[in-house]
Amino acid sequence: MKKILIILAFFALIVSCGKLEDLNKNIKDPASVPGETLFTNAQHRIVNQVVSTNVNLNNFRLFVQYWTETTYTDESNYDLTTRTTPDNLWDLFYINALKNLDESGKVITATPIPAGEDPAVQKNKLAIIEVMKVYCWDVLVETFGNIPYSDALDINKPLPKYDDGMTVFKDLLARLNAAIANLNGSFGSFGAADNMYEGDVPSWTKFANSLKLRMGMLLADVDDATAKATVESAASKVITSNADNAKVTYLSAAPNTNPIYIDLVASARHDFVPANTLIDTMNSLDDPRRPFYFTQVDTSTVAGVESLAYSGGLYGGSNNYLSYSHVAKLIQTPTFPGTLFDYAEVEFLLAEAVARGYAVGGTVAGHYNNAITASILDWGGTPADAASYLANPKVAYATAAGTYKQKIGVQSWIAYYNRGFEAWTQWRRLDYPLLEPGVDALSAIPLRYTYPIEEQTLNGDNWKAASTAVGGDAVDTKLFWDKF
Amino acid sequence: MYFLNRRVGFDLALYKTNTTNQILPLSVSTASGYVFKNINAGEIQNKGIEVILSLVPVKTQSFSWDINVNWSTNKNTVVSLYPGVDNYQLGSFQGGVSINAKVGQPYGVIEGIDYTYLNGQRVVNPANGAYIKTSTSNNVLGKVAPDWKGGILNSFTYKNWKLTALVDVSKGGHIWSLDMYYGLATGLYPETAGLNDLGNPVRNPIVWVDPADHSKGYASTSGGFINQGVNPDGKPNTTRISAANYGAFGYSKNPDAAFCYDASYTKLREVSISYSLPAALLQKIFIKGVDLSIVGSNLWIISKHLPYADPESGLGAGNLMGFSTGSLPTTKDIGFNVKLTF
Repeated sequence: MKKILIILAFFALIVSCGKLEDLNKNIKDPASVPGETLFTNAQHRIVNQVVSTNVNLNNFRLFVQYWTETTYTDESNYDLTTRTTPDNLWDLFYINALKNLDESGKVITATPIPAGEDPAVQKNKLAIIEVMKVYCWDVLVETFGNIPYSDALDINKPLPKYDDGMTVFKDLLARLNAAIANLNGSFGSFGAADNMYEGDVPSWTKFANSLKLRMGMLLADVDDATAKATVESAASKVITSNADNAKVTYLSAAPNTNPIYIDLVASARHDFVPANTLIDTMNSLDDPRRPFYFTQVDTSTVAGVESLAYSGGLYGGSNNYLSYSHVAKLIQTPTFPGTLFDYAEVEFLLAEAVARGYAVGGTVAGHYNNAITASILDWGGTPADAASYLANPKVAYATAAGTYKQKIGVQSWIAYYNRGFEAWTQWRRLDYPLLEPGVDALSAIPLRYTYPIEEQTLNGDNWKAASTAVGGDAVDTKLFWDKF
Repeated sequence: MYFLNRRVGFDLALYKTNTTNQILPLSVSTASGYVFKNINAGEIQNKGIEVILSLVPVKTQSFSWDINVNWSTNKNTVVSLYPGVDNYQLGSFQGGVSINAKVGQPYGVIEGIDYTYLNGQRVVNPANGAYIKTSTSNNVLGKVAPDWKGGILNSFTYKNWKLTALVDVSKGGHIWSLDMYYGLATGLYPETAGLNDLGNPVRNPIVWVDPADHSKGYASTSGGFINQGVNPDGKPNTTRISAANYGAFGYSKNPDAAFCYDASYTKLREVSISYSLPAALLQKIFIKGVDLSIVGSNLWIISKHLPYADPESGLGAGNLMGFSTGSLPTTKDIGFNVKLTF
């Protein structure tokens, strides 16, 4: 009897364990995750990449001469290989951004809709994922030209072929249109998993249309008809105030601080100072945004006499950190938001659209004034600051120097401060302001990134074909949309 | 095989092995959304020769001299990897340098940015005096594996004393140094200081006879130095490169090829002296033998080409040989052994 009891107890133990294989589950390192989490991660990684100033990741603030380096001036002089910067950007967008978004979409599609939730919510989520994907692909096309696209994101194609940049770009426009059509503002989406708009679909619709506006303008010099149609169909649905700006909030604690804080403050390094190119221009215009962009520095040469001014380091040269203005304190705070799109950018694009004869409403000067005002207010200036700045004959659209490209080019360059990638594309598109290469430059100012070194060594045949197709894998090769 | 009353011995081994269907973490284009694909494929062939020669040149009642020579060479070839894939990337590093195993090539090829050449001469940019680099990073700079390795072991035995010395030689192969890449750029090494061809400190700024008219040439007080090579027009380079700031000697102004070194070395690997207590002394106790010895390892690198580092101290053992960074000095080890036999 006793033995039987022991045997019974033994079986009872086994049964109470439930499934023995549960013990082998690694709950700290899950094999499957919710699609929403993948989306949050992808969004976080994308914004970090766009915001970062780490020389390994993002040198665009240098290319447009917002900042320059102090001691190690390689990136200011366009050394892209020492830190394999193109590889890092490529990896980030393909692996951390696009692959995560892709998986996110697959998981959300496969997950049954919870009882009581309208199917429109899931549809909205998928549409937002599609918008973010288009954003990523657009960055890749604008950076490299031809890219792996139709073969990409597939492990069964370890060596993907490259697709023609223009073909990819037109497909992206079609995908973006489809995604916009799928966004239903009457229903929610990601909620708190979305750190940009907290799942607010009408805001996403504005973001998507603003992206469409910008992508349309990219083609203005090479395919006017497509550009016109794209811009005109987007123009009435874009971001209409600073309240709509696509900003991601950061937290005060690591690891979710603003990457600028990590690179400028937490690293305890003094690698960057604002460049003379930007500061000299803003000084000459008496720009009210200077206190929000830079600190002042004592430029007095007389002992005991202080003379505070905004002074930038020589672009591309060696600069003593203490001798020049620094990046403003606000930008260096851990919670400074990261911006993917803002109202000022939309208005500058609309100003250019009117100047090119596209029917988007308003006047060039009106949009130009709105853009500058939006930028000044967003940075912390007052309406009075904006009004007196616009009254400056060097700023006022009617009297500022040059063609519309120069007027919009110079003012958008100032307004896009801290948004290096957008400023770089805008500069490549409009060719203003006139910038000289760094004093120790290895090449002309880059017009594209060279392909990653790993593509040369791993995907050599496809890389060769793509290099030939874009006109040579060099930084000064003009991409398909960059006619002038 | 032994000849002449075991005074000459000889051993020869030839081998050829093909390792197939290994589990390989294959680096793929990250445009696939992945970094690696674990595959169960590939074929790597090893073939080589190993020779051992032993000689006893002197042998008397109380003294003998033994020589053991070994020599080996191994040829490692990647036969196949995965359909469509012809490169197994073993590692990629700063500076755009990568170590690869390409189909049809020896395992471990160093690739990176090279000099550009005109009629066999390095091309120098006449505007700034720096070498013009290739825009591509897939130029073969060297191979990791040595051509051959060898060793000579000499043993001298006199009565109860024995002295042995082992010298190891590795010939051929390359190693790429990240330490030199950065250290020469930032002025860490003595090569970056000193006097230039004009007798001035090389780090002094460049001085022109007439700053407005460079055709009048450099002043006799000028710093900087002249990179040997030709300008793109084929004429010998005469432009000085300034060494006043960082970079002139290192990564910033030179291609990866400048930091790829011959990995050959000759080392005094081990010396030992041992003494065995005479058996007569031990007859009355239960110990059968007492051997005392002093052994010294890695005592002397007799010759090498990689500056400031041991060419054997790569980033890691195994696959990632051929890349040297942050090398710690190799330790000289001296040990004392007591061996008791019961």
